[in-house]
Amino acid sequence: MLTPTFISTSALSSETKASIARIQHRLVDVQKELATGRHADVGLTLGAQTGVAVSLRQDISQIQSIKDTNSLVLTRMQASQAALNTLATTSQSFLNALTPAQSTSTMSGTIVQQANAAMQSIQDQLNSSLDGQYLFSGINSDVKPLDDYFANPPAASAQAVNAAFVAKFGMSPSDPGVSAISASDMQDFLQNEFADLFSDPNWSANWSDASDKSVNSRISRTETANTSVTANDQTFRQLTQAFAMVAGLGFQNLNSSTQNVVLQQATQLVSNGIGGLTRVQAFLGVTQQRVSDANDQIDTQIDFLEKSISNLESVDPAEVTTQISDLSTALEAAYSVTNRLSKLSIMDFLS
Amino acid sequence: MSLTLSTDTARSSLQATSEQISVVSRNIARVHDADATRKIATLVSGPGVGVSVPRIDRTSDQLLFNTYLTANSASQAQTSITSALGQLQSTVDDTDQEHSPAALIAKLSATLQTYSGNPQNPAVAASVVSAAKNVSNALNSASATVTQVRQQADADIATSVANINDLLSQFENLNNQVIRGSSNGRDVTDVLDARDAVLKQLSTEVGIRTVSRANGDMAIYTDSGVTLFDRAPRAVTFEQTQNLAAGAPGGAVYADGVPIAGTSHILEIQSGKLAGLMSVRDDIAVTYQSQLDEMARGLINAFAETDQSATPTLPAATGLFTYSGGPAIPASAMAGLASSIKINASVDPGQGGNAELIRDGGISGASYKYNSANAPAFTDRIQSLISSLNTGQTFDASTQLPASSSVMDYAKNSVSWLEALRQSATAEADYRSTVAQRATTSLSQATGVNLDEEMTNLLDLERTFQASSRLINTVNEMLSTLIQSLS
Repeated sequence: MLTPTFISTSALSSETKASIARIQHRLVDVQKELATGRHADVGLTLGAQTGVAVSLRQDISQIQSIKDTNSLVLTRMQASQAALNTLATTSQSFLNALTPAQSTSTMSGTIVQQANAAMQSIQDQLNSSLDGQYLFSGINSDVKPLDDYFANPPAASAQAVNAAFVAKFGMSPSDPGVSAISASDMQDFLQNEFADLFSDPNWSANWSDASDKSVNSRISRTETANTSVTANDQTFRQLTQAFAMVAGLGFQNLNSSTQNVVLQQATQLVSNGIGGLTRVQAFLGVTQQRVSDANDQIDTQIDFLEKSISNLESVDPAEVTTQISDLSTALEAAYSVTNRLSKLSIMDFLS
Repeated sequence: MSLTLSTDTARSSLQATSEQISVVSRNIARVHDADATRKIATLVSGPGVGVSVPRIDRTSDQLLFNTYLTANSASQAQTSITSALGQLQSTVDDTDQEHSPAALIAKLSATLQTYSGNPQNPAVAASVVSAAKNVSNALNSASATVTQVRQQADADIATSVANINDLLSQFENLNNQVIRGSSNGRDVTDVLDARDAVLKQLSTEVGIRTVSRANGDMAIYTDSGVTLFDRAPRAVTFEQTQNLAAGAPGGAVYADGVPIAGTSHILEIQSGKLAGLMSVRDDIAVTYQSQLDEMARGLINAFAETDQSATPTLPAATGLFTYSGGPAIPASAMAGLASSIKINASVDPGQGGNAELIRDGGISGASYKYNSANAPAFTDRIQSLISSLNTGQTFDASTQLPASSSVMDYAKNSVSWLEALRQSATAEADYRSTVAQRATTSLSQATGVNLDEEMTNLLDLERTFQASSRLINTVNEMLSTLIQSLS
């Protein structure tokens, strides 16, 4: 009775049931793939390569955050550049005022005014802040780098200048008796006691609250860069020194040869200072360039990473659509077979 | 005399046909029962006494049946592994959900980068803490998931063992009926079907081999050769563990006093749900747990603080991340670390801590302070934290991942490990289940009932019955005619 083509009735029906279930299961997956454009179960499809997809996403989140901080850093450096530009202009006009003053001693009042204005300006510019962060404080970004030299009561800086002057000449700079100070004494004072006020540790004690350490930023995954200039830079000390020399040593009452000594010193310092400003600006400019280069590179990298993720995880929509229509056809066929089989019964033919 | 003989023969035919029809009706009644085999009433012609049905046979194919048992066991083992891996995969989730520890560590690194751009902003510091909290929470909950998977497997093993014992005692009952029935010459085909059904269920739980003996007796051995049933069922025992500690193995399963699962014994079973569950409980989940633990250790290491005094004397101490044994740094792999990793309370604003200690250091005490000048834009420590997430560390080699990698890569490798395992396990499960499906179909085709065939048989039998009845009728008429003509 057992023939080679024998098939049991339950095998017949369970086979169609199983194949319908298989097709429906696959159809659900494919529909999900069509909706999301990604594999229905990425981990299952990629297997060991899932780590690559995870790692690509890790990279994106890291360099995206670097890009965000880079824009912040760039803004900060642009603000610093603007402040330095203003400072350069002020210093240049002070220098311009100094040069004719050496020949004619009649304009001392104007010179002092210029010096006061320049001093005010260097304080303003070095005290500039962005988003509550002082740009020239180095890592001490919450404190104003320079106190007001003209404040009342006098700031530590002004007191120190006065004290040094009194110690050297036995009188305060506002005393009319300063006219008696000889050019050589003044020269000596300027080069030693006065210059000392602007070198460490006096500079940090009396003038600047900035840190020597400039702000360090990660500008790409492998590079870090110093992205700020601190008020402790030699350039700013020289400029402050020059401005204080004219503004704070009773310049108006000095005799003309002593005035000339002061003017010569000031001219030299300001010229050096202006050169220094150019150097500082160039340094910032180069870093700005590095940061914006890094940003460009990051854009390319993100682009590439996103493409790689899509290569790994995406499905071809055309293929998915074809699969859906194939599966629907197969499902219809399975239904119609089931229908035919259920209609097909030997009972209908037996009488 | 010969007319009487004809009537006797026809009567025997009627009786045999009725018996055959009753067999057909039994077949039809169980047409959709997957365990039912086709019964055959064998007709024997006796010398001069017509036909009789001495016994009823069933179609069976021992080879196909054994193939089915093997395929079913293998498929069940793989199914329980795949389903456990599916649960473990929930700790990783879809790659674009970015819920995996790997993705969260990358997010932490990104928040640190943002912080390095705004080091003076306490709100950003707090966001670093919350990103770090996400990482530690992800590790805690992943560790809890692993424990849950193991605990579930342990409970399932207990259920499976109870099932096996129950099935073995059912088997004993049926086996005894078969032996008694066969020696008495009774029809035992239905009991045999029931006994086969029990074997099928048993093969779901554990891989088995069967040996047939005289009088239909049968002995059962595990696929590794340990006796489960030989005239009497052997006790299968298992001690369920209420609280499985991380990394600690659970109890073993013994059959007849011999360990068959849960130890690396030579008689370890190879297939069946029990084997799959054992491999989940003591191998896969334990390895994954050790990977999570090493991830936690990697994080604690990456954020550890070193003594910043002029002459360092103190050992390194835990930083942003700490654990129940802090502030000492765990020197080597520590089981269960992933469940106890947490944010140091002194950094967590939610617990009254100061988030800016991430920038300054000194989480574990003043000697560990990096930002000695309290500068608000101090970024050195933040930068070194970012790079230490990407710096190579040495991990335990037993975790099946590259031992030397950064914690970020390690977390990524763990995702790869899990998904690769899931991919191969799923493919294997698909294959096994197809084989099992084919074995079921083959077995059903060889031994099952076909309704059409039974109906055709019924037609034949109907005709035989009619013919035999007609014969009796004809003999009756002949005898009547004879008697009439005599009167």
